[in-house]
Amino acid sequence: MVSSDREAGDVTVDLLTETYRDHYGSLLKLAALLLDDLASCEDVVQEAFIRVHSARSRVRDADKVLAYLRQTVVNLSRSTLRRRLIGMRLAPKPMPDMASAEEGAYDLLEKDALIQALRGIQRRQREVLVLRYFSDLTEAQVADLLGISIGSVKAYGSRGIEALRVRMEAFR
Amino acid sequence: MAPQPPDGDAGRSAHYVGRHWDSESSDDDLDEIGAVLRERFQQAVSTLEPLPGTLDYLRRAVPARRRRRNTALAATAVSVFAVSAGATLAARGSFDSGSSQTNGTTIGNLMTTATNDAPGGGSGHGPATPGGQDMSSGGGVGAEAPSSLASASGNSKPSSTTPSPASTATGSPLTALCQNSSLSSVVATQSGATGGTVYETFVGTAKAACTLQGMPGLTVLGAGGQPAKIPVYKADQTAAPLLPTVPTGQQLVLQAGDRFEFQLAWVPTACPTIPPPTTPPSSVPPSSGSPTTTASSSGPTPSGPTTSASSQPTPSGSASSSAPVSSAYSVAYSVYGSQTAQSVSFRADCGASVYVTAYFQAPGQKRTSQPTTGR
Repeated sequence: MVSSDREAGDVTVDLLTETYRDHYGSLLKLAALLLDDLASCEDVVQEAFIRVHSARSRVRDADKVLAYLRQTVVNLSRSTLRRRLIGMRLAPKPMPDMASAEEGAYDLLEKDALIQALRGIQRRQREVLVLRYFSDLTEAQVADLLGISIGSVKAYGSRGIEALRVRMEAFR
Repeated sequence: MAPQPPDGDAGRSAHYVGRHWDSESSDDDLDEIGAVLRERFQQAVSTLEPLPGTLDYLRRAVPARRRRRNTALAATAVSVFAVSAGATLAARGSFDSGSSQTNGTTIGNLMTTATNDAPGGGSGHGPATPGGQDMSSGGGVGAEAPSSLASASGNSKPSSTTPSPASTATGSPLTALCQNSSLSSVVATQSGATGGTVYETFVGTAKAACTLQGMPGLTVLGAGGQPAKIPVYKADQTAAPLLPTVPTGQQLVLQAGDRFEFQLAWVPTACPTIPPPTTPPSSVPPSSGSPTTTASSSGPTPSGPTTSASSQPTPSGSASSSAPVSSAYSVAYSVYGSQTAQSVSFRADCGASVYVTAYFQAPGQKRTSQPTTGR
């Protein structure tokens, strides 16, 4: 019994290591495009790994581990943004001479105009664009992951691109 | 051919993307825009690398999270099982109307009250069940019951004529019922007489510990020693106002030398009123056709012309012929059975009634009576 548990734990660790080497970086970048700070990205991806691998027995198809991880990252990113939005509403106004959020270790990403424009569009449009063009998912896969129809994916995509264009024009 | 984004700062890439989005939209344009977005997204996050030690953290965190989740699941399952099992047993104990014993194993009730130690127990919920009767009535449970419970139970209530040791419902030991042999003496003295009512006080002295309960046993005998039809009632202040008020339903526990008392009242029945005899004046001829009636118990006698041989008119309704005769009666008291312990004689013309109090402690003695139950 103990040996079987140990074996199961070893298998889990091996799968965790394999999944980490194959997908952790891409999932971290996905979270970085959906979120706006590196610390939150790390937290979200780690939590996704912990959740999916802790419930490894419920994942019937091993090939879908990446899909589960990606969906978990999207859901957690959405929850993080929602909590942060509530926190910003309740937080006091910052003083004018306080340092901006763009300053720091993450400023390289923050200086990218496309990333800034991406953060200015609607959350659903941003998710569709990132999943469609960064994760290279098909419209059907994006629709399945977000729980919306393919038509909605197309609509969010086209409107997102238009909104992104408008914002990029503003940076010119 | 996918358009290549220019190298350089963000302003130039924005100009590049904006230049393409300014063109007319078509599938080719969307593909080109998609390719540009792919490349720009990859470039934007290309510098991101996992923090050092992330894999080690995940290797520790995943098993820990699994253990915590399994522990939480187990605790939840145990809690649900405990709650459901407790609710089931409680409901079964409260509403099971069947026997509490199965194959010699007492199932009982988990909610047995502290005052009910009988097998099967009592339930604090819902109506009383056969397995949880009110012990104040002494209901036995099951086929067997302790003898002390059985003797005090409502179903086998000790008879007032059965002098046997028993236990009261309150748990105090009950001494044997008093008999004539338990008493050293019973003295009857007349305590008063008003308006024809005679009051007698009976005082008895116990020579052994015994218990008196119920009303005193009285038997009214006629002159010939035969039972007379004299009713015996409980003390009534209306009929015998001098009798003391003694609560009934008490047990009187006597020790050797203790004295007890009860009183009775002999209330003669008033005889029917008899009109005085009428003597018609000699100068007045007897009126015919105007019969008079008497109040005699012998019934009305028509007056008027008699059929006597002397043909002398006689007064009608002679009272002397129907006057009640005073009779002698004796009221016998027996503690138990038919053996008389003391008797008192009375007289009455037209019958009487006897009113008697319950036993009470004779004055000057410590009161040891206690209420009885189950009567």
